[in-house]
Amino acid sequence: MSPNGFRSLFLENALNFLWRQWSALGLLGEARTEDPWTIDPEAMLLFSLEMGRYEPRLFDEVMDWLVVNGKWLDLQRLRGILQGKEDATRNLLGAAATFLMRERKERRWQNLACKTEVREGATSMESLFYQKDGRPYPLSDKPDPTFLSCGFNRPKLTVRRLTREVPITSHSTIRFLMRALFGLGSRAECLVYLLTHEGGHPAEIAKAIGLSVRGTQDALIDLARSGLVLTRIKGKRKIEYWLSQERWWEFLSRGRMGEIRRPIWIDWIALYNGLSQIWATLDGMSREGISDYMRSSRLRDSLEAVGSEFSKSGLDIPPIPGRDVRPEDYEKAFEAFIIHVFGAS
Amino acid sequence: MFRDQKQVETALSALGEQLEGIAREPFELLACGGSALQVLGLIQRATKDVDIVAYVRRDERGDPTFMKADPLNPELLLAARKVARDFNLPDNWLNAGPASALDFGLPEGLLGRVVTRQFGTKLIVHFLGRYDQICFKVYAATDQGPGKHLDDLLLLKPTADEIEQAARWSMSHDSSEGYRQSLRDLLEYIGFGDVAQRL
Repeated sequence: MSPNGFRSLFLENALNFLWRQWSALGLLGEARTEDPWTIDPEAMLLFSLEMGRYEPRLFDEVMDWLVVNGKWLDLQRLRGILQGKEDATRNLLGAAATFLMRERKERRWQNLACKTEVREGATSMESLFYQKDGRPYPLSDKPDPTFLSCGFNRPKLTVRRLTREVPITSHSTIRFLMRALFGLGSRAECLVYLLTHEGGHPAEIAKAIGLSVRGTQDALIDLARSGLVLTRIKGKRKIEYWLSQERWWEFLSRGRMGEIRRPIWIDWIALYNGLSQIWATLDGMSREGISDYMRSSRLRDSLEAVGSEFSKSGLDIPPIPGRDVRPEDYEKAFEAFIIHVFGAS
Repeated sequence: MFRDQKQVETALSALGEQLEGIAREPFELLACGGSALQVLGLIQRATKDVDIVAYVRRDERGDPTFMKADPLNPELLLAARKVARDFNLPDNWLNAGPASALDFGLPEGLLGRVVTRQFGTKLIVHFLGRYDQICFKVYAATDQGPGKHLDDLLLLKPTADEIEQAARWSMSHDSSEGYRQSLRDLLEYIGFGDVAQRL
């Protein structure tokens, strides 16, 4: 397969995957998913803004979703996940935040919004959208001023508000149910973690949910005072928090235990980070003329760099192709791995 | 493990490609051992590594000098590790094991007898020629006794003159009486008793 072939394979799989995930959250009025995991809207938003540049329809539908459902996003958590990301991703989120401030008059997005002013008559910025082969879309002569202020040229964005409210009865949207019950913040995130794990200690939970150890610990202490989140000593003086899965799930399913399947926890922050890095490699590789061997080596580099992210993601995927795979066979192994990641269930 | 000449050249070619993206300056290496014997087509046996004796550095006029290869340059090591990973080779498949040979000097006129291969723009490998391989093998076989070095030496079918010159060069690396006696024993053992008598 050519470098462009790999790039296309990844892009198509990533976009299909994102469409499916956002649909489960009400995008385009749909709310279907067979996927058994909890969806992480903050980590998914950042990856969607990156990949959505190659699918304007997805990008704009996500913006539509944000207008309707953005209130459910945890912006503190979003800022945490944003740390260490490329400037381009920060600017993309900045554009989305600026747009939401103007569209929804919501001040809470202000800290994430772009700080630069709209330059009158400025049209020669970077195109926001790219065709799937990597060529930029033609620059609009009537660009959207909100995006222009973040350095992106795109035609005016008008949202249609076709998105449904996030359905909170599904196993994959348990995070939204927790946020509706306990408000945005570390309490809801801790509970999602505890509902999908046998237990955990504060540092472990904080890392998994993408919030500070201090904030997570405080939330767990407060939750434990309810008597419905419990503690036990595990290992050397480590306090582990846990809850009665049966009682909690009975309550959350309103007594109909069969209707909510317990979801699987996936470390989406790690997984989307890994996928984002692979995309950067594939996108860069398609622009260089390199040999079959170097292509396989670069693919190995990218999977090696993100191997730990995949292994801790919780996804039921095979180990990344190892040293036993010869260079001439690596591309096939890579292809199978990527298809497996996006189709994993 | 390299089973044949093609596998050695494939790994070195991959190393050259990796260096294109890593190295600031080209590398010019002097290689000996089983891999060099394979590339020269002198011996067909499996070998697990590529032994680097020295770097070859050129001055402004292009005149060469040998530089010790131990430890291997970090850029070269990084590239070699990627090749090891990609071809499932031992991490030390490229090593400076025989680099100490440079301490007491290499055989005279060695660069005039090497077989040179270029792998891209960042890697040139000079493989020791047959006579210089005999020198190294005499020294190694004396030092380590019967084994692969002695087998290689016999397969190179050295003449009495070559053996004598190689033996004298090897004694410049170890002038002890113990070494001289071991060397004589070895030469007797492989049918060069007259040469042994002259040492």
